[in-house]
Amino acid sequence: MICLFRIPYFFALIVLGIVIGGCATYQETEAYKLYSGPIRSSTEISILQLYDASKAVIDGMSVSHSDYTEVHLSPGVHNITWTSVHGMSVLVEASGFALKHSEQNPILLKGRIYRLRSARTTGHEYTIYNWIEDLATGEVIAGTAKP
Amino acid sequence: MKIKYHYTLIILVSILLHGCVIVPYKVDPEVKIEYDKELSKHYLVTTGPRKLLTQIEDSITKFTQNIQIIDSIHFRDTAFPDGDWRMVRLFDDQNCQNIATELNARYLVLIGKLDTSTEESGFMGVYIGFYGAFSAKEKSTISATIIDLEKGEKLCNLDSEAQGTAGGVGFFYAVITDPLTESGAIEGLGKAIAKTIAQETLNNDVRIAVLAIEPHYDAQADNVIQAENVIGGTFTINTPNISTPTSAVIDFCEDFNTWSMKEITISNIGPKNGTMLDAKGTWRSGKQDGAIKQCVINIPEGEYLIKYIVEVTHQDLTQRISNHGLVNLRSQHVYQFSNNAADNLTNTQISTWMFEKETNRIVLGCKVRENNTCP
Repeated sequence: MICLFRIPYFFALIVLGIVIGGCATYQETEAYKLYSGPIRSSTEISILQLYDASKAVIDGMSVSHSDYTEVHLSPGVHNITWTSVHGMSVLVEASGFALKHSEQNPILLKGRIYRLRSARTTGHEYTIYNWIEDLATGEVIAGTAKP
Repeated sequence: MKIKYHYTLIILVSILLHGCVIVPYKVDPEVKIEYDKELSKHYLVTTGPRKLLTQIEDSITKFTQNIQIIDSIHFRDTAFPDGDWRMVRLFDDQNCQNIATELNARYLVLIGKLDTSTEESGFMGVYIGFYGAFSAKEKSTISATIIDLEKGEKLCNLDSEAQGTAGGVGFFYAVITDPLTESGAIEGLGKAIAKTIAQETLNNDVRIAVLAIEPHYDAQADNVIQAENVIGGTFTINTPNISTPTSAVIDFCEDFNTWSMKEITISNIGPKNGTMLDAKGTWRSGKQDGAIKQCVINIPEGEYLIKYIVEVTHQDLTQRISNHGLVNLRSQHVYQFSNNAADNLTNTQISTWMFEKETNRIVLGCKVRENNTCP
């Protein structure tokens, strides 16, 4: 009888399965209505996707990414304080992560979708960039995008 | 070749076996009810913590079928039609009674923040397996305020607390116990809310709304932001007794052992109302140890881009922290810098912030919380 363990391909398959085995998460869109009154159509409001933000305080109201994926706002100027979290090498940050807090006061236009974006450079002299971009045009409306 | 395959098999089995089992266990919460506790109105009424509110609602309806929950967004829009979500607005002229009539609602339940703290001892290392032993006391607390909308007054406060001990032992393979304090506190609170309302309504059908509250950093509010774990003292930006009423004075005259101001950069971002003067400069240390000790800067009030770097020492950990952002410096106000630190199982997070003394409003940076995050 041929022992299966003597077949290299069998091992390769199992190890490959372990290596690529993982999980993927999918978060449904959950919108936080942050304007008063009846629900308005998406063309009448500004949508802010939390995207890279772990949490945000918008005009004094806290929004956690674990609760909502996007915030629906009246068009106009909004005070947005938000935090992005980046996993780091422990050789760079002992905690294994780095936070970046930003406060921005962008003018949000109606019918537009905006996204809180964050990216970082690597190494000991790393820099974290937090910015807000218009999803349709890619225009940075607040903060500085990673070059 | 045989030997080679045996090694592969051992490694494979090791990978598959290496791990741990986590044994969660329920903890019984302790719930206190208070009727005399004063209701602070310096809060915003919010639907923000969606999942937490859903959990509370579920635990209320699990206990009794006589309570019907009103959609929180619908309640909020009815109660605060102009988008001013301060809790104080609830108690404007007959507002509570009007809401009760319009929504046929009897009670409003306002849920506070769910707090969890951990105190650990022992050590467990992880390196191709788990080695060591640890235990950690975990405590979760959450509170609620029930408002009688028909009477327009507070009924009571409920405080739920669940405590448990997490423990683990490991030698390659680990067994870890996990107390479910958060769900225990939430379930305990939901049950207590349902029980209290059922007693008040003699088990009759009733409609209630469940929303959350969060601190409102209002200039008119009392000291909402408390000084927590402040290390050393505070640096001050002052605006007293100065010749020009529209000038601000930044004064770093203090010297603390545990933290120091290394650098501050203040730049104006352009004319504002035609009064902005050119005020731009970087004040670097001229002192031996590199810290700014005395520095007075005359600048007019207005909006500035402020960047500062401080060095803070907390429990043998020294960190340089930098904050920057737009700050509106108001005339005749005092601005101070402060700091705090939070420790959890894995690390210490130090944070600094700048705040307006008169209002306790944070204008730059943030305070780190027990879960090592800044709000």
